[in-house]
Parts: sequence; C-alpha cells; structure tokens
Amino acid sequence: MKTNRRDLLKLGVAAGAAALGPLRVGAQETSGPLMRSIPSSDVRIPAVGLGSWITFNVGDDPVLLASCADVMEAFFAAGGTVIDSSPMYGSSQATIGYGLEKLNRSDDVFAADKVWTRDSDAGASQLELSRSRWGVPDFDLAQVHNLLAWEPHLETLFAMKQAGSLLHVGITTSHGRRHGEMEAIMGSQPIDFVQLTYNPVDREAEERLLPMARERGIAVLVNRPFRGGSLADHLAREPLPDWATDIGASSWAQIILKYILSHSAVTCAIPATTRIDHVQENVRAASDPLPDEAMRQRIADHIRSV
Amino acid sequence: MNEWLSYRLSDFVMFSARVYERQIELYNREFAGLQILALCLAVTMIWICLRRPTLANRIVPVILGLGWLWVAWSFLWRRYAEINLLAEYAAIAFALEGAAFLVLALRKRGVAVQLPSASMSSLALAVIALPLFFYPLIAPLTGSPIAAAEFFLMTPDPTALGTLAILAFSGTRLRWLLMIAPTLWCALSAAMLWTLDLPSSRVLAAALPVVLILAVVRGLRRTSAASSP
Repeated sequence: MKTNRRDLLKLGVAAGAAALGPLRVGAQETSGPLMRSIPSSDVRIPAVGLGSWITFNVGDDPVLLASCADVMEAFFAAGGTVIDSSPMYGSSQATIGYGLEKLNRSDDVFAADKVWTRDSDAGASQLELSRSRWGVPDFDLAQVHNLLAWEPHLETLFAMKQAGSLLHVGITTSHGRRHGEMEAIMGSQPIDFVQLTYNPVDREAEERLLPMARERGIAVLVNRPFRGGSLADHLAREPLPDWATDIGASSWAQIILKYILSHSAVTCAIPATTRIDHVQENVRAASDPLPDEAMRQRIADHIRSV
Repeated sequence: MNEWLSYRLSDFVMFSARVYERQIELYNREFAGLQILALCLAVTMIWICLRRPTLANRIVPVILGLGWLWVAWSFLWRRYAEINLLAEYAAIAFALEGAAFLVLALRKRGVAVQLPSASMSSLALAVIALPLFFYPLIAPLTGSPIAAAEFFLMTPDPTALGTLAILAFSGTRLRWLLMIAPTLWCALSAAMLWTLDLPSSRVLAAALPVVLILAVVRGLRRTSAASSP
C-alpha cells in the first residue's frame, strides 16, 4: 500500500510526514520553488499556490476544462502543490477535480477548500460534497469562508481534524474585511491557517494580523495578491523599474508576489490565472532573492505612486 | 453597513466574459435549430397582435409563458446555474413568470396587447424589434462569434427585454405586476455583464429605461383617454 503524507499526518506523525518533503512526487527543494513550513504541523508547502476564483468557474465546457487542466499541469510541473477553492466559486471545485483526475495528481495536491454556509449543521456534508468534487481522499486544509457561521463550523472542523479526516483548520477573509473579528478568533481558537488579502496596496494585515500569525504559529495564505487582476493590469502599462532585477523579478506579477512572500509571516500566496505562462511566472516568483525591508518599502511606494 | 459599502458589483460576478459567451455558444449548439423556431414564434406573435388582436390575447401569453418556462429550465437551471449562483433563484423567478402568463392566458380576456399598427412610431418599432429580432446580431456585430448570439425565447436577456416591450403595449392592469421580474432581471444582468465589459450589457442598459418610460407614457395616455368625457 502506498503511504503518503496524508496517511502519516492522519496518524499524527508530523515529523515523518515532513521528512517526505512536499506533497508532490519528485519535488526537489533545491530546484523547485521556495518552500515554507506550516508551523502547527511542520508540513512544507511551496510558497506560491493556485487560486480558483473566477478562473476555474467554467461549467461543463470541455474546451475550457481542458484549458484549466493545462494550467494545473504547468503549475504542478513548476513545483506547485497548493490549490484553493470554495463552494462559493461555482464549478471551480469540479474543474479542479477534472484536472486532478486527468493529470493523476489527486494524491499530490495540497487541497485547500472552505465551508460556506449559514447552516450550522451543514458544514460536514458540504465539505464531503466538495471533497467528492475534488476527487481527493481528504482535504489538507478546510477553512471557514469569510467567517460565515464560524463558531459551529470551527467546532465541526476541529472534530474532523481530531478524527483524522482533516489535516489543517483555518478561517478566511478577503478585501481587508472583518480583520477585528479575525484577530479575535486567532487569539482564542487553535487554528492552523488564516487566509487574508495582502499585497503592496492592501497592507492593513501588516499592522496586527501578520505579526499575530507569526507570534501564534499560524500559517498565512494570501488571497487577491493582484487585487483580482486589476493591480497587475494597471501596472502592465508601466515600465518595469530597473531595481526589479535586484530581486530577480522579470514582471510586475513577480515583484508583487516577492513583496508578499518577503513578509516572514506569509506562508503561501494563491494567485489565480487562466494562463500557462502566468502560472509558471507566478511559481518562479517563489525564489530568492526576496526583497529586504528597504526594498519592500520601495516596492510599496513605487506601486502606490503609479 | 460599512462592510457592504466596501463591495463593488464586480466582487459578486464569479465568471469571466469568455466563460459566459462560451456558455451561450454551447447552449446554442445543444439546441441548434430552436433559434429558428424562436424567431418564427416572435414573428407569429407580432403578426397575430397586428392582424388578430382577439386571438393575440391568448396566443401571446401562451408563447411568452412557454418561453419563460423554457428559458428557466433549459438555460438558467441547467446551464447558467453552473457558473452563477444567482441563476438558480432567477430560474425560479422565470418559472413563476412563465406560469403567471399561462394562467392569465386562461382568463376570459387573456392578456390584451394592442400594438399601434398603422401609426407605429419608429421608437415603438425599435423597442419591439430590438429584443425580438435584432438582439442576435449584437454578438457578431461586436466581434464575438455568431454562435454566441442570444435569441428571444432562448436566453434570458432578450426574453426579458422583449417581454417588457410587449407588456408596454398591453392594456391589462396586471402588466405592472408582470413587468417586475423582467425589469429586475434586465437590471441585474446588465449590471453583471457590464462589469465583464460585454457589449450586450450596454444595449440592455440603454434599452431598459426606454422601454419602461414607454410603458409609463402609454399607461398615462390610456388612463387619460379612459377618463376623458
């Protein structure tokens, strides 16, 4: 029987699971993307993942499904493993399931999904429906989407984690909303992950949430790194600054991602895309050198000025 | 409240323009041939209104009722709901609207529709012709594939707009009630598709107020005529 990281983690053997390396067959940390540890489990994941909001919501269109699978193939080939979705994202979960089956990657992906329902009792059944759409044995991470009915859902997720059918538990917000409530939960609940919006323009998380995550050993997923594409589109009209080469960036997208990843509390950024070249470019951004504090300020100032 | 104000409409649109157009293309391919039937029904409806007004009182609501039910099931429920969470609710609203038309068709007077035949103004002509006959041209005229053309009685936008245009010429007092669902749909769809920069959203957004103003003006004229000695 094949033993993978999920099996070991279910048995509580975090160290053994960590020793197996990332959730990807054949991953080499020396040549692949920058890896980050999840503080609560020591599992290491690549610092750039793949979001699925809008981009993977393609219905049953065979042409677009194949196109999404191509993006996933390029993502895995570049060394990525973390894919994030939600029941709120239309057909995105089914698209991911299609891609994983087509690429035979169901055991390799770090599967992150969410619970999104006001019904306190429907969390487990919704997660099971999501899991069947993904076609994975279990989720590596289940998050309470936008803190919706977070108290009963966290209770459900913690029970699932205790029972071994879930590896990590988290909460999410986006667009900089409800940071106060998120901070309160981070201070009172034993969560493994938070997901929030952070980029060189939306920096509110730097004030309290990111320091708190670092202090309490909570992993951080960063959504909307390009503000849903609008930031990257806006910057595309501007020439790349000379200092981009100092941090090994060849595009605005890489500058933004390197800014995000250079915050020590950030575990993984999850940009979404429909393009193979963009997904490759994104994963390549998870590499040294990352900007130091002075360069981070320069990036933020420059982007704000344009 | 402040949190809701921080949302933009685009935050609620969960699919891309390309995906939307591809859904229309796949739908047209799935039901290839029905577009011709839909156009024929539209022509029939207008012809009956002009030549057989008494018969139109029943035929028009039957065609509209079946059309709304068809769009509810075939497009909104089966296809659009795959990519748009709002479409399930819209499908229910479309089904109720379709059922309402069919029930009204059973009434003794049906749904009276009086098109201004001889003196039909160019505005009135345009208001009716756009959703019924010219809406399918928007896609090819704006650079989209002709396969992404939207037809009255096939997809929700021209169906809702065409229904509003017909109801604007209706004498039934229930027309205002019947206009709620198509008005809300046109406004919602125009707003959603506008964020995707789809050309049809401009047409929808421009035509909706024109149709509503026309309905109000005709309603006022009718009231005035009825109350004059």
